[in-house]
Amino acid sequence: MFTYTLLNLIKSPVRTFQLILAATIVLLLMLTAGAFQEGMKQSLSISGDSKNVILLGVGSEESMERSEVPFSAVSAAKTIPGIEESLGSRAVSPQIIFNSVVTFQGKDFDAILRGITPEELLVYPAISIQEGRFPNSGEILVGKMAYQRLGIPKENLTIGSEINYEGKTFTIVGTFAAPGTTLESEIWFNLNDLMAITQRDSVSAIILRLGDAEFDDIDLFTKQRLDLQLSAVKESDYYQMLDRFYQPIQTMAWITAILIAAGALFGGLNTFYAALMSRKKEFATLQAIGFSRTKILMTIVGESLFVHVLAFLTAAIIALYLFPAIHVGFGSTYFSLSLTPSLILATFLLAFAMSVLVTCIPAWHCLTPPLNNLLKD
Amino acid sequence: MSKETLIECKEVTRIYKKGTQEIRPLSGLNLRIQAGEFLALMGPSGSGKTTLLNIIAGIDAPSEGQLIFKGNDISNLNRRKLTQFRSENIGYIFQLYHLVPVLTAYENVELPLLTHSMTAKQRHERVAKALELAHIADRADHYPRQLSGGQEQRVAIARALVTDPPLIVADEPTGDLDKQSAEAILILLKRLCHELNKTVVMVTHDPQAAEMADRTLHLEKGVLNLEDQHVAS
Ligand SMILES: Nc1ncnc2c1ncn2[C@@H]1O[C@H](COP(=O)(O)OP(=O)(O)O)[C@@H](O)[C@H]1O
Ligand SMILES: [Mg+2]
Repeated sequence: MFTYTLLNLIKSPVRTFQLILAATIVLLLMLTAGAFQEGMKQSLSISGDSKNVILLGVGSEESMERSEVPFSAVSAAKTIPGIEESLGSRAVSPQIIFNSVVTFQGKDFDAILRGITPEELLVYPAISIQEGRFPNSGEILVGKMAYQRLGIPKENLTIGSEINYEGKTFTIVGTFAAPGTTLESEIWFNLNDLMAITQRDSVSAIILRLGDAEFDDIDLFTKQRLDLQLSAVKESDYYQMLDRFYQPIQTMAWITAILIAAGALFGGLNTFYAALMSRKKEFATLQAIGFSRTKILMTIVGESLFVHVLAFLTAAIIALYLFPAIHVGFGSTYFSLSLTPSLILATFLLAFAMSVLVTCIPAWHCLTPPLNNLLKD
Repeated sequence: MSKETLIECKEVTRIYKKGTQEIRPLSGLNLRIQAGEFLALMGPSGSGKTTLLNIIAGIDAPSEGQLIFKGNDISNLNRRKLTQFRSENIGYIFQLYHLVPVLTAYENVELPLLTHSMTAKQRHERVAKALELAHIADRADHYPRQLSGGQEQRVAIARALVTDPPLIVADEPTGDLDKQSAEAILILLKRLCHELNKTVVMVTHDPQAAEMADRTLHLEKGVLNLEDQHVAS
């Protein structure tokens, strides 16, 4: 009975291929949408440090990239009591962040650039310099995953390599790690360099790390210093807001995937329906010569299961190879499609459910009518 | 030849409902079929021949009346029991052979044995013997599409024989064959009946085919036309 199942699939290779293809498309789309959501979720999962507060320009509370904070606010912020302090430095980290094009080995690459001061390491204790040192003027620090974002081999982006930006040459003097955050795909400049190149006298934001102070103290500071036009936002709120901002994109991704998948699923249903209905007489004959309907149903579902397991494996292999290389960037978020074990398991269960679903209607038509009618049609 | 009764139809009526309309292809039919007999069923199109054959073969069930097979009433068996009944007692031969296209002649013949518990060796012996009896052993590895109609029907006959059932039913087994192939098939059926002591019930349109049978019954509008009976000597 098992070989009989396989024979039917081997006999019409084109049809079998169509069945596998349709199922693969459905499963791959589901994997893609799931991996897209997963990747985006992970990239937003810096989710803010509860001890950090971001000072942004009034009216630009939703985007660090768009915000402008006068440089004079930096020294003012350092006077707020209760800010974390380490080795005599206060954890007040002014920074400029934006997306721009850098040139590496003659080619242009889209990258996220951040200008920082050594205080950046005070507000983010999780960040560590893995190799090398902090950049002085004319030098840069690259995130551990920056090579991926630029799409170049890892070994090309090492200490000593040079990157051009706005006609100036910068030498890589170190790499940093910021586990589980998108910071790792950024290129970090010395703040003064970026301010000079972009001719700005303002920064994008100032990040503070609270010691004894509360958020309300910082909020009060912004209200006392109305001249600076600052707005204080808890870092966790900021990323939650970003997450909400990206929610519609995730929903759209799912809707798109589901719409296309529904088309492919319908195609698969149709092909299965036609394939099984063309064997209606054959199934009736099997009943006539003594096969129980349960046994026949098992071969039908068996065939379908075989097709769907193959489709699942195809989709999973494609995803495993392709997804890590697919990078998506929106503004400051940047991620690759991320496969998780639970996503793969969910897709397998979907494949299983589909294998049963596509056989339901034709199996019903082939097995439930009275046998004499089936033999007659 | 044994004279014991294999099948008895008692007041068998079959009613099909089509919407509000009732079709009654069989009405109060009485019939006794002896073990080892070769019976031909004739009658005009729509006279209920296939309906009767299907009821005898446990494919359809009477709406009223009883069908006794080897002394057991099978008219009220459920679908599962009927399937088992067919698997043990019936070999069915169709007008259009109904072989499974993806299987070879050998595999087609082996198919009914898969519902029986036996070893691969036992199966092989049975299949080889059935192919031999149907004179088609030389085509064992051929697929249905590589066979002529007459050869396909021989494979179908081997498939009907392989489980060694007491009853073989055939619905117009020569209806789609040329005269020569038809004759050969009829000779084969007759031989099976007499040499293997099988009971054969065959529906046919062809009076010459009916000539080969031990007995011919004529169906007319769902009842047997008894005056017209012909019994071969
Ligand atoms: N499953 C069914 N449903 C409704 N009517 C049927 C069914 N099977 C047979 N009939 C009707 O019963 C009558 C006898 O059919 P059948 O036994 O196939 O005749 P025959 O084989 O003698 O040509 C015909 O009028 C046919 O239309
Ligand atoms: Mg008929």
